[in-house]
Amino acid sequence: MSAKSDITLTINGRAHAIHVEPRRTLADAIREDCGQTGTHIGCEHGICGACTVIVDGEPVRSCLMFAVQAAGKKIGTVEGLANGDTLHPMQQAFMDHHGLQCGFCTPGFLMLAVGVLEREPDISDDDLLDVLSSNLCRCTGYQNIIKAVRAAAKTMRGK
Amino acid sequence: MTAKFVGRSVPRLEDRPLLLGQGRFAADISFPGQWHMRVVRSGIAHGKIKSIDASATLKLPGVHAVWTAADIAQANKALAVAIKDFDADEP
Repeated sequence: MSAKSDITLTINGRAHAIHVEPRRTLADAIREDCGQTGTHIGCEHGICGACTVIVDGEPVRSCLMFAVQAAGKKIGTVEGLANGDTLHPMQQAFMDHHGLQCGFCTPGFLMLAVGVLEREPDISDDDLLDVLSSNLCRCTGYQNIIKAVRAAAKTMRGK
Repeated sequence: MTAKFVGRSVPRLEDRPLLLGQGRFAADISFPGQWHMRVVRSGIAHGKIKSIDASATLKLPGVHAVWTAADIAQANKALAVAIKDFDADEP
């Protein structure tokens, strides 16, 4: 059962050839095998959302997906959000609205919010709040995260 | 004179790396040959520890050490003194 297989993970457009056991989670593969530590692991059982990444356009909890399931798919992580020196509107909004303190949950929130707004740019405010309630933050009390995401949604729609 | 910091929001220096995924949290640090530690807790909710036998664990490949309270008795003693001193400072 633990025979390793050779797979390729495409993270932010870059191919990573890795050799992993079937039980290796996508989160561990991204961090340990591909060296992309921007994706954080909080609870390891799908509650906190810190490990959220975008797989083929859908935000997913990478601790609940196996690496082999993501082989050949397009994976987006926090490291791929900015365009050179220019922050993504979502990153800029988090900075402007003080949507982060310790920053541990931030990559998960960024990928969740960006993934949902790219899929559904005209999502209602109620639905947006419902989506955001799926991730945990222990610093900010959520209000500033909500402010930041609302502001970024406006900017993203304006494009 | 305009105050540089008082009465206004100051942009945080740490925001940018944290937003770019470049923060360095404990789990992000990996030295060559780094060891890993796991805290083993009792499976019994309420009981008395009479002894801990780690001999089988120590024989497993890749296991370097098992620490129990006995191994950190000195450190615990120092901590107990510190707490006692702290209590003494309380009014």
